[in-house]
Amino acid sequence: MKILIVDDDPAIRMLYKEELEDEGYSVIVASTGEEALKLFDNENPDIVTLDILMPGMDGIQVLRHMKDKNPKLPVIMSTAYDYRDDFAVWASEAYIVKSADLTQLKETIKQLAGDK
Amino acid sequence: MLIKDKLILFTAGFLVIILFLSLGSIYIFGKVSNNIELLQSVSEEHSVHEDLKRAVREYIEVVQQWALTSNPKYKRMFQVKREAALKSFGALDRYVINEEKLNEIGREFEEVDIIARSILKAKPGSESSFKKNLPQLSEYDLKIDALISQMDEMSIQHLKAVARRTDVSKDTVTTFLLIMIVLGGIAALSLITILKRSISDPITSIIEATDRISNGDLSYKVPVTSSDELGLLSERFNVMVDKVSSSDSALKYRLSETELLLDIAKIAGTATDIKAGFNIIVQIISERLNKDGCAIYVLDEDSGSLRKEASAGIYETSFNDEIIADDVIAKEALTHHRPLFLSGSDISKTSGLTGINGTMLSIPILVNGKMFGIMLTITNIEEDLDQDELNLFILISHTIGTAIRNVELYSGTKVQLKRISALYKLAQTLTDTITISELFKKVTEEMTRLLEARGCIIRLLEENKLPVKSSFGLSFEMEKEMELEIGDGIAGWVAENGKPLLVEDASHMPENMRVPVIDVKSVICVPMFIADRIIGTIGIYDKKDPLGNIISFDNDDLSTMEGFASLTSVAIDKAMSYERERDRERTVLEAKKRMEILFESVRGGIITINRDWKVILANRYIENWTDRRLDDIIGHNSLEIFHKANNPICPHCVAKATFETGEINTITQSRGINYAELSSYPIKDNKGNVSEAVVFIQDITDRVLYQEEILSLYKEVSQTKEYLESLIDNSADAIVTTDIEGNVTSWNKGAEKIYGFREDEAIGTFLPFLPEFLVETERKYIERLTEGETIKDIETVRLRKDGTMFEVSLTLSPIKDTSGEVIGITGISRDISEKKKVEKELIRRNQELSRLFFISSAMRGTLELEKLLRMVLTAVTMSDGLGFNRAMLFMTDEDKNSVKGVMGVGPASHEEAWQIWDKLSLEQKTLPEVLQEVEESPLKKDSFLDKLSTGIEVSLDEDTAIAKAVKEKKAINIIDVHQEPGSDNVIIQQTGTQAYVLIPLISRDRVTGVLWADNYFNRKPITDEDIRFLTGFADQVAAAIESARLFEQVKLAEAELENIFESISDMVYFNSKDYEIKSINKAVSDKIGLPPEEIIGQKCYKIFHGMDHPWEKCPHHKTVMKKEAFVEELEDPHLGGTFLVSSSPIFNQQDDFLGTVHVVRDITEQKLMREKLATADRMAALGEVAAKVAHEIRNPLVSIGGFSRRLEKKLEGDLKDYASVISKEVIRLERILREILGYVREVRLTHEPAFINDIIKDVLPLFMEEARKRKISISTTYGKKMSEIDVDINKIKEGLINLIGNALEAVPDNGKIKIKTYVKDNFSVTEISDTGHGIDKKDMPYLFDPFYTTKVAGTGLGLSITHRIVEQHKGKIEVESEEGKGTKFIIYLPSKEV
Repeated sequence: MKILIVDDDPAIRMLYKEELEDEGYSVIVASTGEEALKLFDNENPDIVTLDILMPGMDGIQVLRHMKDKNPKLPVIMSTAYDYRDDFAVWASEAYIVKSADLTQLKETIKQLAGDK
Repeated sequence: MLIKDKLILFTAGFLVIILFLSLGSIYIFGKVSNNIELLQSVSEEHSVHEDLKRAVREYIEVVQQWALTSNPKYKRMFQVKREAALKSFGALDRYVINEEKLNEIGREFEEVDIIARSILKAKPGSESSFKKNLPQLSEYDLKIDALISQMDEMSIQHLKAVARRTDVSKDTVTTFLLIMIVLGGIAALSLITILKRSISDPITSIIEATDRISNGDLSYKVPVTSSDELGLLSERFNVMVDKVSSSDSALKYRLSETELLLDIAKIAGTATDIKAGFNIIVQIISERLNKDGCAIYVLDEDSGSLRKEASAGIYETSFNDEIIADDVIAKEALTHHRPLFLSGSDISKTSGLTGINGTMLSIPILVNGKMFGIMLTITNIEEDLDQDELNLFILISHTIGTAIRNVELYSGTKVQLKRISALYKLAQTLTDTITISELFKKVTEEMTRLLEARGCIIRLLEENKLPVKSSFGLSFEMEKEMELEIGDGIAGWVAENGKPLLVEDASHMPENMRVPVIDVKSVICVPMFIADRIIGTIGIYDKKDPLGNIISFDNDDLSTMEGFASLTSVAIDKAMSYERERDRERTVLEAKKRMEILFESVRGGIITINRDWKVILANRYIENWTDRRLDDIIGHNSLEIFHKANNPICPHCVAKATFETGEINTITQSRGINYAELSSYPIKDNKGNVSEAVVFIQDITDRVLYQEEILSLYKEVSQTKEYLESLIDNSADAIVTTDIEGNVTSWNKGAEKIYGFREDEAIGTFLPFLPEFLVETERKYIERLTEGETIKDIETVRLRKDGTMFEVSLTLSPIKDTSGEVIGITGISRDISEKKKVEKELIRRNQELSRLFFISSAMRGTLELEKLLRMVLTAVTMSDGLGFNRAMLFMTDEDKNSVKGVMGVGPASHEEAWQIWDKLSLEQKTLPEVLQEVEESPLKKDSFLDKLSTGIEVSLDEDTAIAKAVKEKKAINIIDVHQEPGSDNVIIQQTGTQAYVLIPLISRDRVTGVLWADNYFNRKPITDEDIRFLTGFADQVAAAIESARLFEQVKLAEAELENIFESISDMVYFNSKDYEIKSINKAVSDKIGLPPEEIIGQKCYKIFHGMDHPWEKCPHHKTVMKKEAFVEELEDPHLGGTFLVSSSPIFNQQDDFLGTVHVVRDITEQKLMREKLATADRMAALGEVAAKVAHEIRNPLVSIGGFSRRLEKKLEGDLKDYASVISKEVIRLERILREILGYVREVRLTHEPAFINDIIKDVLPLFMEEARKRKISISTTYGKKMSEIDVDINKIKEGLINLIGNALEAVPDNGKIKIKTYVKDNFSVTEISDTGHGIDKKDMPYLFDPFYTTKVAGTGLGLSITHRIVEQHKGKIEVESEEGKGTKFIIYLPSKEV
């Protein structure tokens, strides 16, 4: 189970990577939208966690590209701010507000992985 | 022989004659008919012969024709003709007399027939046979013809024989007929005679008899001629008529009896004069009953004898006038009530009637057993007493008796009735009549009439005198003279004795018992009593019978009079007491009324107070002295009433003294500015104690004030007098007083100085300073002065003592005494000779200047150029102004270098000039008035001079006076146009002027025009003075014209500004400093919605803000307060919007604040937009900040917290605890952050109960426009029993919008979309199907994936979002699609849990 983590914050990338690897997932990370799309194509992840507010291409654009390419791939929106007013994020499978407590994230991933 | 037998005989004879005649007739008819038959057969035979002839000839002709022509037509006819000939031949058979001849004809015809047949058989054209046969045929024809003619001849012979026989029988018949007629006539005549004799004649005589009888002729007898039934009938008829005739005469007799009785009864019943009635009755009896005499005697009850009342007949005079009681007739009638029948000598023996040898019948007149008299009848022939006649007489006498009684009854009742009704009438009168005089008048009148007297007199006893109070038939003067003393005359006697008196003939009375004044015969006088007291008498005199003769009164009259008198006295008493009562009442009422009037009308208060100070009475003037109303005063305590009033008066204070002393007490008090005099009068009770006091309060303010005024006047006058005296003494003017004759009574020092006379020289002389020639004038002055007039400032001349004359100004005033009468004259005179000249000049200049000043000021007020010019010219021509006759104005035109006439004022002709001047002097309009008129009335430029002037244009290049005036800028006076070189020919020609003046109008060193004026009508020369004045005026005019021109320009500019002002779309308006709207443009009136006139003049805060006081936010208000300009945005709820208001103060040149000008722009829309934008911006900014904050803070927190958790997991002991602390703190921080940003929120759905149908209905209108454009039909089928759903309506709408929008995009133009709802298994189901292209099968699995789209446009999120929404509502969405046919989405939404 390969998880692609997209976040511009290196600390968070590191945190998510370590925590999720602890959970037994293989984790790849991308710091920008462009990088994420590259990895999406090349690494063929099973689940993507996607930050929205990023320099350059933002998470929503990334989401659209990813869904264009593979509509069935589960994407979890993980943001510092609640953008759920924006219908665009509705295309994602889940939405999580970032928290130091990663329990919710892990459970969501588990659930989506299970669905798969 | 009876009629029956006669008739039988007659009938038999008649039958024999008939039989005989019938037999004769039959014989004759037989003869005649034989002959006729014979004639007929002969004529028929002849015609048969002729027929045969013709038939044979035709037959032969046919054959001949055939032979000649061979025409088959004849062959066809041949058989027909042959048949006809044979038939004719056959017909001859019946008439054959000569058989031989007939056979001969038959043989001949057979021959013919043979020949004819042969011809016919022969072939046509075989001439030979024809030649032989044809002549043969003709021969035969002739032969047959001859034979028939022979036969005919024979029959004619036969006919002739018959005719001869007929002639013989004709004679026989004629003879026979004659015999028959003669016989029949004889028989008929004899029959008629027999019938007439035996039947008709008797019947006729009977009919005639009945006719006569019916006409009343009973004496006619039917002649009896025969012994048959009719004779019998006649006999019986005669008997019958005899009987009828006898009963008729009996009946007639009865009838005349009855008639007689009726007549008598009628006469007796209707005759009012019974004696006349008797006369008629006896007349009737003697006439109708054929009596030789008839008389009626009436019983005289006193003597018992019978008196003759009426008699008639031949022996009319034979009856004695009286039949004494002892007479047999009288006895028999009176005692036994029996009729008496005498005859022969008995008559003269018993009745004393001589010369009567017949019979006499006496019938008593009786009614109900009472004897009235007798009726006598006599006849000169002796006859037996007829019982019928007796009965008749008894009936007649009864009728007469009844009549007598009725008459008696009638006359008695009539008198009674008359008296009773008079009494009734009188009694009625007496009760009705109120005044005595009326009563007396009625009584005398009634009495006189009732008793049929000449007059009536009522006297009343007054102090032993009996004056006539009322009379009927006497004049007032007579009444006066008829006064009697008691005991004097008839009335005096009656009044003295209290007894009535009936005098039959007054002339027989002693001297002292006569009626005074009038000559009377009979008198009744009765006394009138009221309770035994004689009050007067009533007397009537001279009773009159119906013929007018004076007769005596009787006792009935007396008693009637007495009745009257007592009734009258009662009425008099009643009327007198009533009148007394009424007088008393009236007196009391008047007294009361007088008191009331007095009480209310005294100009002062009246108040009655008792000892307890209670107000018993008060009049309304009291109200003025208190503060209360009248009904609030009476019954209250006086102290309370008056002491509570402001500035009280004190009636009880006055009353107090009266109560104490019992005397009248008076004090004076004041109430405010009013003074009151209070007088108290005591009212004493029976015991003489003062129980109440009347206080009279009189307002004496006027009196007091008047006194004061007089006092101060007196002081003033005495001061004035002193002052005046010293003034007069010290005045530089001469003050002289004279009496009205002109004699000097006082002479001051001034007079001494001016006139030179000393006071002692002047006093008493007649106006010493008056020149001889002014004496008359002075007298006129004095006359006016004595009428009270004052003559002021007359300028006249006076003489000094030294004889020099000098000018004085004189004022004369009358001196009046206290009654206003003029007793003298004061003359104040001043020496003005020195000043006079200077003054005159001054005055003139002054007038001139003031006129100029006025005109120019009037002109400055007018800024309309045209009107101004008109005013200028008017001022020049008005006599009150500059006084020229005509004036014209020329204006310079610098472009053309010319002057042009613009206006003219003045009359067109001499006539008009006089009319105008007359009119002006009549109307007495002053210059100001005329100028005002010009200013106010609309300008007209159509006068003669206007037209004249506008036609004149003079070039300045020419060398004319006007050009000179312009060029040299100076006035030019043309004294005589003929003398003056270079005068203006055009103007002279046009105006006809002889002399004129030209004044240039110079403004700012520039000649703007020229004023032309002349005195064309009165030829007054134009003086240098005029020119000087006109020049001064022209300067003013030029200035005024300049300013008017400027004004016109300004006005034009103003109008332009006004246009701009009006057309500005912003509201622009001016307010005065006291908040009044002065001016607005159209935008304001549009915005307010009122016409300008309803806005201008209103308070601005009312119109713009709907307030009744200035609004402190209002920029105008602020500007008013601070006198500064404000520009600000203002939200005005009243006008409903936001406005950009610029408000600037307006100051005049003196820097006074006048008001504000506002420019207001409606920026409501703009503001709203801006606000929306701002909100959006703010929201966006906020969102950005929040996102940033979140990003910047939460991210590090996540890292911190996340790693500390990791540390916590990895560390042991204290370090683990430290990490734990960090983790916990981070959790806390995150929580705080969450709270601050409020952004950790689930996408929560609101839940509201709703029905899917309603939501669809809300959504559909969004698509209608497009559907209509593309002609796509959207049909809906809503389920009837939809279950309620619990949903976020907006989200569901979002979903539906997506689906319907997709469908709309999917279907081509003209496509269909169907929406259907229903309930299925606790789900509210909505189907949306379209007829679009459907969905590719390979796309189906990805349909709801985000960003998956087959569309060219769109994000591809629509379906995905819808899917999410439905899922979030715990519903599901299904799709059915067939490529090319369409797609159907089915949305299931769970029903609300119940």
